[in-house]
Amino acid sequence: MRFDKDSLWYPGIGFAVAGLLLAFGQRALNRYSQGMQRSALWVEHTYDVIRTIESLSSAVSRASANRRAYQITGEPSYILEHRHSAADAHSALAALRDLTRDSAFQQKNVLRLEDLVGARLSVMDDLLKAQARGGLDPRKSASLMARARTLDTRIHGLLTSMTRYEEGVLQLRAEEGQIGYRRTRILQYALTMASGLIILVILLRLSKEIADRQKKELDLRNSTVLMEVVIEGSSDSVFVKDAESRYLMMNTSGAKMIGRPLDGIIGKTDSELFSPETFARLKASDQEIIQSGRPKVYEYSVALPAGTKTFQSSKAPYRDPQGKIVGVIGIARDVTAQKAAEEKLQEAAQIKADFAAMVSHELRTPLTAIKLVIDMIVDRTLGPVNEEQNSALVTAQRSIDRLSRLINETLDFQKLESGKMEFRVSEADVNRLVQEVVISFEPVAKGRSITLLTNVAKDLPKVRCDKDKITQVVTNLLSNALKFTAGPITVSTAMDGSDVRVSVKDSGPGVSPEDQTRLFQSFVQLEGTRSIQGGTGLGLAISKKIIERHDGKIGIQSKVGDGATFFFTLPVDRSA
Amino acid sequence: MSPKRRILIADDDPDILAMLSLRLLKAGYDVVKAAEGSLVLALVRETKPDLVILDYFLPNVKGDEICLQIKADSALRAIPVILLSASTAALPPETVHAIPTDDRLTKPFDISILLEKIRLLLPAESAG
Repeated sequence: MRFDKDSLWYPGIGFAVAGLLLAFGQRALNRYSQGMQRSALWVEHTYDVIRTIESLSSAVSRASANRRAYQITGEPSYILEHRHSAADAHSALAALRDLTRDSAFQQKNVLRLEDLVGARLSVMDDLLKAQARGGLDPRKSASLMARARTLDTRIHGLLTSMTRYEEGVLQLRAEEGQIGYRRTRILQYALTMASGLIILVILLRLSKEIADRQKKELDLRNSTVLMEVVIEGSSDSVFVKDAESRYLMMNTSGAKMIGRPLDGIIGKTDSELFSPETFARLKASDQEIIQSGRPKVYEYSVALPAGTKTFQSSKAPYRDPQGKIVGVIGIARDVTAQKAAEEKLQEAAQIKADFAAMVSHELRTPLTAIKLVIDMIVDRTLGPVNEEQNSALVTAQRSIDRLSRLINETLDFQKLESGKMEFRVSEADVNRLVQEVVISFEPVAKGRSITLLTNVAKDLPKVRCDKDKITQVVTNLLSNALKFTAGPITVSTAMDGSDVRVSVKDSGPGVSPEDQTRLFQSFVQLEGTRSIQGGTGLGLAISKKIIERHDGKIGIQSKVGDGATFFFTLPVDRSA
Repeated sequence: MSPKRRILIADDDPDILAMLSLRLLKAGYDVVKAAEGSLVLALVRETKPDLVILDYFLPNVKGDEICLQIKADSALRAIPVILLSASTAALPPETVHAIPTDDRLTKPFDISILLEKIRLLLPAESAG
């Protein structure tokens, strides 16, 4: 698990701060213990002073006691003792002077003490000298004694005050020490806790980051595994090549497609795997991808040991993290079967088209002959014809015409279905087109006493369309109307938004909603039409295809018992 | 009496050829029949018809080719040509429309329409 330097700055700083805080705490503690040491020294010093004061006091007392003992006993050993004591007193003083060097106050006291002790000792000396000379004048001795007593008092007072002073200072120091101790301890606790907290926070964040990174790595590993599964599981070939068309990676399906083991592919270029022609084509397409930087789909026919196969290969540029193109990634699919199927389909379509053309030709030829014959007889070219014969022949003519229409419509329908119907587009005056069709139907309508009405809109814009085909549609609608009705038929034109709309309204039985949905399908004939004039069932289907090829719409509006209006629209601004 | 107008009919179907020529004869025309593409051009040169009715699907040489040849020949260019076709579905429409016929009719056709077209295409009869 790696950390990048960005994520390490804050724990680094945090630890540094925590360290600093601990260092401060430690320093405070050090200072305190140093202070403690100094205090200890002070205490010792103070006790030294006090002890020295005491030993001075005891030395002076002993000196006095020894003198009196000598005075009483006359023993010379007491004089020796007295001298020892006096010496002790002097050394005590010297020691005191030394000890109180740092205190101006105590030094002054020591100086006075020296005077006082010196004076007291000299009184003792005087008394000793007097004793040695044979006794002292009682009055002299009394004044000496009085002086001695005064001196003792003053010495004692001074020593006491010096002691008290030392004790006072000691007390002060002790108090200061306590406060200092408390402060130090508090500071130390605070700093320790602060640094402890910082460390804790850092550790928590670090552990969270570690957990996050672990999760991210796990997710990455999972998605990597998923990706691998997907690539390996694909039945298409998935591969990566470098800029020299050397294979860096390929999945199992790809190896199978090529027909070699995977280790025989990775690290090799296409020149080692395929024929020179195939290699040239593959290399060219790789180069195209690398140069253009855009994905593209290619189709190749490749000769493989298993036979010639067709592949559809989607290739895209392979970029490194900086975005530079370093190779090609690709997915290839074996489309041999599909191509074969497509070819068969096309063949079949061509056969169908050829067949339709041939059949219609073959059917039309004899029909032409028959029509020539019947027409010839009916128009009396071959001699007279009686009423009966005429009637019969006219029936035959109708059937011939019907058969002819059927052949035409079948062929039209086939052409439209296969998309082979050609449309010749020109500017058409819809009103005129419609009127021409109506005129052509007038004889038939008159023969059946049906009124044909036209209702054309004024200033109808010209429409770009195939005139013949649109005429075919109008003819189809009008002929249907004539089949369905014995009443008036109205053909109208109008504008419908940006479209031109042509409607044929009849007064026949109407068409039910269920039948309306079936109307424009091929080979559908509705009830009642077969008996009258017979249709092929293709008329409306063909009309629908023609109108749709013009980007128009065709439809019906009808209620049962209320006739039907067939209509179609043609867009006006149509870029043909 | 004005001379009979001669019409050359070329169609590979024997029945159509027979019936059409009968009808034209009855209509007062002189008829020359051809059932094969390769014969038509020679026959046209030989018989000098006033009008030619050509079927498209003729054996050996197709109607369009013959039409082109007639129109390319300065001696024959003036002869009107009517093209009959049962089906030109196999051909691209540009090819069909490019054939330089004077008129065309798809089979099966109305004989009265054909007769009318013939009448319109034949030059007016000279007086006298």
